[in-house]
Parts: sequence; C-alpha cells; structure tokens
Amino acid sequence: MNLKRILAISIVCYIFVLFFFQVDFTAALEAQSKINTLVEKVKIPNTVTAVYLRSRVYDTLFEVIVFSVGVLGVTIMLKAEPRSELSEQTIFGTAQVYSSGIMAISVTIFLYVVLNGHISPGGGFAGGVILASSVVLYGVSSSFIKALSHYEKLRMKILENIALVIILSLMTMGLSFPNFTFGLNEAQSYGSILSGGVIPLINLLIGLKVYAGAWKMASEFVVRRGTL
Amino acid sequence: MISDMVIYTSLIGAFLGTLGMLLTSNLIKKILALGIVETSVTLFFTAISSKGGTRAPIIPSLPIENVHFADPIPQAVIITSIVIGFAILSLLLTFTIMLHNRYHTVDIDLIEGMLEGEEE
Repeated sequence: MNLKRILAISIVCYIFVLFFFQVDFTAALEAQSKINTLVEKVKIPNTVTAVYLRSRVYDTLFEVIVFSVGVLGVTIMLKAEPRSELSEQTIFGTAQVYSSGIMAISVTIFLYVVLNGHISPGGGFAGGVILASSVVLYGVSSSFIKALSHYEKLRMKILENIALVIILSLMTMGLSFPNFTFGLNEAQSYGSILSGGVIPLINLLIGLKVYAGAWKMASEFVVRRGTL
Repeated sequence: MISDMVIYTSLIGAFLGTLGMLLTSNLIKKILALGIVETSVTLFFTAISSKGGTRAPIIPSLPIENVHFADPIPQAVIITSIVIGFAILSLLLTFTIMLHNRYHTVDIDLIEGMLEGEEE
C-alpha cells in the first residue's frame, strides 16, 4: 500500500518535471494571418464563434451529442435511487423578491448573449448556463416545487429534442455544403445580427439545449438529496 | 512574459490536482481534485492562446487594425472541454450518490474492503 503510493507520487513528479524543463513554450504563434483568413471566409466579428460554428463545426456537433448523453446518463442512473420528500421551504420575503427579479433579468441576458454571440463575447453555451443557474437560484432560495413545474408546463422535454434535431440537421448541412449561409450574408452589413446567417439560430438552439440539460441535472440532484 | 507565468501556474495546478486525485481516499475530494485539473487545463490553453498578443480576437470594424490579437483557435477548442467537464463531473457525482446509497460511505478503501467481503 505504502510502496504503491510512493511509486504513484514519483511517476507524477517525473511527468511534470519533464513538462517543466523539456517542453518548449517559447515558439511565438502568429495569429494575425489566421484572423484574416477567418474574417474573410466567415464575415462575422467574433473569430472564436467562426471557428467553433463554421470551420470546426464537427467538434461542436459531437460536443452537443456528448452533453446530451451525459444528461441522459444522469437521469437514467438516478431513476433507481429513492426520492427525498420535497416540502415547502421556509421562505424569506426579500430572497423571494430578489431571486424572481434575477430570473426575469436573466431571461433578457440569455437572449442578448445568445443573439449577440457572433458579435460580442458569448454564445450558446454561456447563455444556457446563465439561464440555468438563475433558475436553480430561484428554486433553492424561493420555491423548488414551483421551479420544477415549469419544466412540465413549457414542455421542455419536447423542445429540447426538437432543438437537438434542428442543430444536427443544420450542422450536417453546413458540413456537406460549405457555402450554406441561407443567403443572409450578402444583404446585411458587417457586424449586424442577421449577417451571421444561421449562426444566431444555432446559438439560440444550443442555448436552449444547454439550459434544459443543466436544469435537468441540477433538479435531479436536488430531488434525490433534498434542498439545503 | 505574463503568459509564461500563467503557463507555469497552470502546470502547478494540474500537478497538485493529480496528486490529490491519487492520494486521497474520499470520493468527493477526488472529484474536486479532478475539477482542479480541468480548470488548470483550461487556464493552460488560455495562456497558450495569449502568447502572440492579449487583445480579444473580436474585430468590430472591417479594415483589421494591426494590433496583437490573441489566437482564436485554442479558445475555440477549450469551449468543448468546459461543457464536457461539466457533464463528466455530474456523471461522477451520480455514481457517488449510488455508491453512498448502497454502502453508506464515500471512502474508497472501506468500499473495497466491503466488496472483497461480498465476494468470499
């Protein structure tokens, strides 16, 4: 037992000492030519979005699929575990008012971040996490039963699946036909929202997908282990 | 200069996280250490992308100015890693909940002892 532990420590130390002294980090990376090529090809201001939604769209496609499989795994694995009793929490009036306000603001921020994802910093993943964290905050601080009911009321399950199918079909089209932009690119000026073609739509759908997945995982944990 | 410092800081963070994963026997602490390693890798990629320059790679108007932009490609790659890390941490916590419901402990040595007792 002790020998195994010492061996593990020495192997880890050896690998990281190699990293520190052998790997050469000094090579200067020339980013200007890459940025020129990306802006010329995709014609949107945010070059990071241009990479992960146009030239490397294959990565994002499988990332969304892996995220969906992760959510599915959490849901199925926790289905066999016993549920804890969800009772009404003791609610402070101030916390309820403020968390409802934060939730209302965060819907607006979600739409802004998602629709401006190709102009300013942001995008689908960040927007989805913003919305999900505010809903979790509302559930934990005000009323978890009320927060749970919106998943059924808005039919998020169906919405999530429709979003996944549309993302898959749009990304596959973008992969098969590299010039596929819905023709919005030429009519709009550089830097407006519609100049991205389908990129704002894909960002919106990814945001919905990430929001639904993150909320589903968090609510499964709270339902099994109880609120604080 | 600052990016070199950040690179070495992220390597130290990954080193400490790996040691923590190996040396503790508590499952929750192992998962926390894995989170530290993931964050350090994210920091490493961000530092690599800022080798050439530190300006964010967003071009607001079309004649591109000649300033030192950061490299957009490592940043786009690491977006994938963040979301996948979130999904992986959730799955690991799920397995920990299942183990705790079954064996009423999160200590990996105790669980191994119980498993050996079950087999005999």
